[in-house]
Amino acid sequence: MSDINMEKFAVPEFVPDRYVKELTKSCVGGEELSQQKEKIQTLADETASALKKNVYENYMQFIETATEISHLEAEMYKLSHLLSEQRSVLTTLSQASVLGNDNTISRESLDNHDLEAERAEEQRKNKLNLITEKVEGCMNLLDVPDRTLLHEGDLLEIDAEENTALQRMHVYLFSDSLMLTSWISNRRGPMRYKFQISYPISTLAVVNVRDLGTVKQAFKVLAFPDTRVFQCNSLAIKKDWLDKFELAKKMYIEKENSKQKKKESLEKPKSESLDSPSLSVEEIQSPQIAPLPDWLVDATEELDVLIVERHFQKTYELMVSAQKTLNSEEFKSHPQRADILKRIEQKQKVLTEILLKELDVTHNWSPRGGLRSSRHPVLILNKFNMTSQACELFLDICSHTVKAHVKAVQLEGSINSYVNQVGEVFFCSLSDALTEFITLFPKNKISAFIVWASMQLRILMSQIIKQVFTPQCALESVLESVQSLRDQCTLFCEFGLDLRFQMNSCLRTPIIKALREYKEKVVDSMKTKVSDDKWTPVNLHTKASVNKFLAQMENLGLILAKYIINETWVDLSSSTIWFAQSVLTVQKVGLQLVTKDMMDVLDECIHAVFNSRLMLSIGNDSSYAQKNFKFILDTVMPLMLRCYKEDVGYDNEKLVTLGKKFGVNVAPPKKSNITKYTSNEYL
Amino acid sequence: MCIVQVCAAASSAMSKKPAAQPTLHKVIMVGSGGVGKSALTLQFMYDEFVEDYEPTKADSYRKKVVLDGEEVQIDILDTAGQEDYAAIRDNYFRSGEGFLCVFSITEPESFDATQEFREQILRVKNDENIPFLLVGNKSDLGDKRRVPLDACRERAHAWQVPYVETSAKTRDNVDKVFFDLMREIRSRKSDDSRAANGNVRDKVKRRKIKCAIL
Repeated sequence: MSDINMEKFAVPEFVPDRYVKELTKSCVGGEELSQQKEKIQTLADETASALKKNVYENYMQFIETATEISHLEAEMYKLSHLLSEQRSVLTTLSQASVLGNDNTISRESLDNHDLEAERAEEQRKNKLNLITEKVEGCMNLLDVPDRTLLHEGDLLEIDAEENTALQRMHVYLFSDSLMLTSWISNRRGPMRYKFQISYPISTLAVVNVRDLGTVKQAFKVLAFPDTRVFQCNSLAIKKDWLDKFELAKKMYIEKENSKQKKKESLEKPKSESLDSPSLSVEEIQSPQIAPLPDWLVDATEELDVLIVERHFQKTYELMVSAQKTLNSEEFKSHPQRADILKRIEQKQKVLTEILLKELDVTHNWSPRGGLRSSRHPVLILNKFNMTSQACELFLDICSHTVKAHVKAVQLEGSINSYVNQVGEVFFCSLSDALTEFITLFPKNKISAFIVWASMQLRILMSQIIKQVFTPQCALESVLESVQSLRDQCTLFCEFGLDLRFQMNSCLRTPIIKALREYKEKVVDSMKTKVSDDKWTPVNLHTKASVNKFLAQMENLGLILAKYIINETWVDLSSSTIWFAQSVLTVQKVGLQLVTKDMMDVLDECIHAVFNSRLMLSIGNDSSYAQKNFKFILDTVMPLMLRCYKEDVGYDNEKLVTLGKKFGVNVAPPKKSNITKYTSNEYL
Repeated sequence: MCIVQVCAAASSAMSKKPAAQPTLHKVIMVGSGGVGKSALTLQFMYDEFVEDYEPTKADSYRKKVVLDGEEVQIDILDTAGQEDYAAIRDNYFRSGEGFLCVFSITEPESFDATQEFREQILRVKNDENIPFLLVGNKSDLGDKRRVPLDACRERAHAWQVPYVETSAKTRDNVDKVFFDLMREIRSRKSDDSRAANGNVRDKVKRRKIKCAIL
């Protein structure tokens, strides 16, 4: 028989079927098999509980991460927005520059050259990147769009004054600048040279050094205030350098010239367009209209920013002020007015969508902000005449919070304390929701809240009823739960909303059911109790239990002190005591449990219990049994009738008729009976 | 400019080696193309006259000479007359301490152009008293003279600079223009140092730092 091994389960290619097969193979007999099954079951349970614990432990972390993620999400949204904005700006810029370009080649020829140009561009970039890798502290070579490398090489720098060698240099000549780098003596890694300085071509003057005493094959670079002298290894190299410098200079001059020309050509059409007649209609009108203030022109963009930054209140304010200003006399006939208004309207749509989403519980809504967090969106939506939607969503949020709060109550200890707590939490969140609702919404929406509240109550009650009204539950415990709920409901009335009727209507069916069940139970056991009775006094053995018994009975209204004989004996049979307790409980608890509309059920129950007892006593002739029967008719029955009347204000007709049938004269209660119980209980 | 000199002196004083090299005077040849700047330079440098004409880009020469009994170095920058881009020319002019502004007495256009060179030099150096000689070259071609001597003298007077006529071919006045300019440069340098005498030490000290940076 193999032990259960956790590692087996952890193997990725674990096949449950095979595992079970192996297990069954090794097992002998059903007993062993069931043992194995049990083991696996416990293992599963353990794993499940461990998993649960894990989940719980990670819960806080999870929440933190979730909020962090939502923050990040917002940030990313902002970022992407910025990027897209920038992109559009760049495209407009590039378009502008293409249009302004002098040598605009036709699109077709551009396409033809595209591939070649692309390859050349790629090559150029690769070359520059390679240099960047080689030179420590290199400037960004790719920041100038059409920079190309014209020449590079090792040169020996000579002191301009002393004619002595200074250092070995590696010099790069780009189309727009000269970069001087020195050798790294003890180099490690890909860096070979150290960036020293870069001179723009425009500030450079190159001098061919024809004669510098002993120094041959040198040239000078004048870059005010520096003068740098470099020596080449051969005349050819020097000539190369000088030629390349010349080339760079020529390219620079050409570029400058073309720039100049471009400027001139740009200036020309401008002056032409000023006096072009085609634009005259607009040109003449516009000066008469006051220009829109800057903030109004930028309003739509500003709205975007505000929405993205989640300043919803500010967004709304800007919208309103922009609309107001545009509708004022001053701008009534402005040509841009309609356009801006339309755009603002679009933004309004965007805003409401976001706000609705914000309020949507199903859309990653977090309960941690509480109802307060929904205040702004709701208020703004109200202003947009979207009260109904806002109200609906707000109530959804309320439902969510109520649910979350109720769920948070731990089911521990007695059911009564749980019900008590749940009730408290429920009505507290209900009152929170109500106060928030009243501040947020106009009066005509309060009906929606009432409907919602009674709905919530019904949901809660259906849950609680399941827990409280279990079969075989004690009537007293039901009473306690029901009473605590009713108390809280009554307290809630102070907020101006009476939900007691709704609550009672929810409780009606289960209460009736509970009463009837109780009645059935008592009636069922009545027969056995009576027939098993030995019809002798009951011995309670100790003084303490006697006292306890007396106190119990007194609580139900019966004072039985005179039935105590020989200190520990009760001069009543066991079934009689049981019956008295049962029937008194039914009436006492029932009276508190039921509402007026259920009185008939209670009456019926009391009658049934009593009747079943009375019917059983017929034909039992033992004197002690008769004595007990007499106790029931003379003491218990009048007590019950009296209590009933005191409580509800009228007689229990059914019980009265029953009593009359068995010859009990109940109408005026005997004075002697008054001393037998205390009616204080029922006041 | 004085600062540069003081600085140079300071740096040479600072360096471990004693100032082996004599004082350096930087002369720049300016003027239109073909007026004989290179010819003058080569005549001064090597006592030879190069008949073939090849436009210069920018050449530099250095020579040790004895100026009034003192050994000095002259650094001659022979610039291109055909430089078509004024901004590039500025870069050359910045490095000069004295200028020989050359024109050909046979070519009025080259004489006219001196005006432009003068203005550019003054602008770049930002100094009215920069050592400067107006040089009328090709004096050996007296029969082809087209720029009157009076006009030349008048212009030199207006600029308050000396006027000298030279011949690179006959070596007439060639040494004179270079030595006269060096003298001007030298006197200018001593003037500057004297003017700054009171706080020369401070200046040297202060410049030391800057020299290190340079």
